Amino acid sequence: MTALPSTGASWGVDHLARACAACQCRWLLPAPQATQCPWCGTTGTLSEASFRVPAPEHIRTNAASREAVARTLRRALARIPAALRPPDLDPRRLEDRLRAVFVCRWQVDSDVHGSWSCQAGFDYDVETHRERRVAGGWDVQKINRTHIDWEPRHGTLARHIDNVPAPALVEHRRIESVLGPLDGDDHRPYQPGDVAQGAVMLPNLSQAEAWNRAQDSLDEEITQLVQAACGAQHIQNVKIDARYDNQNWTLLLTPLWTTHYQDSRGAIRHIRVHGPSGAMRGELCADHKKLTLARWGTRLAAVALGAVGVWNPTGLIPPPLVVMIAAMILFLGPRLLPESAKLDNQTAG
Amino acid sequence: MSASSWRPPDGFVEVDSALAGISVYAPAPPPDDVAPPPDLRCERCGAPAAYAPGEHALVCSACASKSTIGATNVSVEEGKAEFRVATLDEMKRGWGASRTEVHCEGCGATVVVEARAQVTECSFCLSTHIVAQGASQEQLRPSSVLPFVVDEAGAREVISGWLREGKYQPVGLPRAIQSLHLQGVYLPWWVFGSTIRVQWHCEVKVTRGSGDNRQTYWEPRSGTERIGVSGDLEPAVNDLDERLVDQLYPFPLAQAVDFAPEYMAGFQTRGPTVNLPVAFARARHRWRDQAHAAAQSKLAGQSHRNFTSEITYEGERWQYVLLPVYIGRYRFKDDWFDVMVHGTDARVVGHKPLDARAFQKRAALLLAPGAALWTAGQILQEGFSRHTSLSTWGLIVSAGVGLYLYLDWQQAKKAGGPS
Repeated sequence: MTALPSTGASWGVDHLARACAACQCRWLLPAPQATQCPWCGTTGTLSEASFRVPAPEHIRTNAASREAVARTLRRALARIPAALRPPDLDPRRLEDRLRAVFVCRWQVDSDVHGSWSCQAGFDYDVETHRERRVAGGWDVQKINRTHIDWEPRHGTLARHIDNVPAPALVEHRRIESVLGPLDGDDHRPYQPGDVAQGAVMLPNLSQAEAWNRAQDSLDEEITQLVQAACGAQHIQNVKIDARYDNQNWTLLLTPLWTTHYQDSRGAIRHIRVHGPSGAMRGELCADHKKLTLARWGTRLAAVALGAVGVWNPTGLIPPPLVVMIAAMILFLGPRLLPESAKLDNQTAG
Repeated sequence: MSASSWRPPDGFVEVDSALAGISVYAPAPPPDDVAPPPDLRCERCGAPAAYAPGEHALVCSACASKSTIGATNVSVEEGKAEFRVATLDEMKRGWGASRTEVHCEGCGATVVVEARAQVTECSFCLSTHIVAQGASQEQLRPSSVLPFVVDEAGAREVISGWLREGKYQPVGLPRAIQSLHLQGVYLPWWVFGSTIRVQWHCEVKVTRGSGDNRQTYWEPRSGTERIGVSGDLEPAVNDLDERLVDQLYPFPLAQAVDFAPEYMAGFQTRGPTVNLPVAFARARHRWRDQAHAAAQSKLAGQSHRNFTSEITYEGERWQYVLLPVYIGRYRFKDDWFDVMVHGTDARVVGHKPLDARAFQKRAALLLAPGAALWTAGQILQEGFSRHTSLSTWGLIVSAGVGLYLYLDWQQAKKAGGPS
């Protein structure tokens, strides 16, 4: 019995295979980074792991460079005054922790043989009229409406279908819902140098486990092909009775950027960036103790200002004006202090 | 299932596929029953057969044997087509050039004529056993036909009876039946249907309060009416007397059958000369006036102003049907008069000469008592009663008779007077 490899030699890189006990992710990490989980940010939870996964076939283009992500983070961080930030929320630390992570998904190539049936919908225009009574006469307006002619179609198929997507991670749906699609046409052939500095999240869904989703994707692809073959504009009630032979499973890598910080309550907060689109997700939170102090300080200052205004020792400024300013500070001041800066609408790159 | 063992369902044929490796099967198109003319010869003796009105059968002109026509009753509503832009465009392009093939069952000749041409007999053997094999455009093919129920002899008989009717007919008019040229013709009609939605707005006069506090307001009102129209007929030919054609309605469309060329055997068939969009515009003119009036009727008894309405048509559909009519002309003295017979209920509509002298004789006869009373009153110069003299009664009777004669003359003119 041959022992499974624990390095990324088969991928052309000298990474180490590790498993995180905290988040259950399996990684291929550069040796210097093999102490901290790039996803959950915990240290000391990584253990040696083995893997047998073929080298990826494609890798998506990373539109967000490290510099662009760092620049965007600094800009977002500027919205929270330095005095209100938790100690760990420091631009230099965030930048130091910024890591390239590659998330994978399966791509399936398959021969498809079988039969199908559907209702193919063909658009056609129908002429109709609208008539309006205007000044004793009738204003006639001709209107064209598009209707759909549904017709039954049957047929056979014998095709080879390439690169049908299927999830490779249990967290696939959650990651996609948060960050964006892990599938796209903006990819190129995999080169080992692409992941030399990054961590690769290895599949935790086997091909057998991912097959149901792959078959759904294949059927979706077949549905589109059948619609195109029929020359139809719409399709419904598709039934496919097919055999999927000569399957070839490969991986597609989607680049992400990830960094994290510890907030004032001790929780780790993650900031992630979807590489192909540059979309950022995360939140930069102020230190809640410092924020509370600042709010009370503002309120006390406002009360003091109001008292001075009423006392009016100089007689230069009318007391009502001072009281009004003090009241505004009292009520608005604490609300103007930023609690957090959300990154969800930010794009790096 | 392997692709090699797969078989398409019955009635499906392979059609072009836009992608290699995927075959596509679609329902087979309906058989092109326009192209191959049916054999209208007698199965027994081979002589030409003609459709026997009212029997749904072809009858041999030589041995009188019958063969039933296998057509089914159709609902005219079901067969209606939508106003597809593609079809309308095709019609606009090809309408003027449409041709009809006319096939003679007597000598076998096929004559191509303009679809609008009235062809009653074969140009070669003068046989009337001709049948239109179909127009060059699919959309011109009728979807259903209302077969003749009345035969030519029956039509001649009702025309003969019609010529004998009437109070003011000239002497010798019944003999004009001998000059009658009569031809059974399937005339084309468009049938339309739609749902009409009328949205109306107006201001209604409202009075509130009483006495000195009585005040009048104009309140805005609006509403929506939905009116369903089906089986609305519009003639597809425009060279017939509209007054006569209007009197042919109604036609029992429930008795219509699927179009079958056998029904045309022995009868002439006319192609449409009124464009579908033109005919539909005419139908819409009728509908919108009715819809507008229907909306206004909701305000009956209320003072209103600024009434406006917007009409939207939904689900407009059309169908092209052939309806049976005998078209004839007869000669009286030096004039020709048109006459038509409804092909299913034998109603006669037409023009008849009126004899002014017959009217004068009748008028003289009926006015005589009144005149006699007036004259007697004038001679006797004495009161018939305390309040009314004899002469006055004579005038009253004469006036009543005169009114009756006027109305009777108008009715006679309407019933068949000259156009």
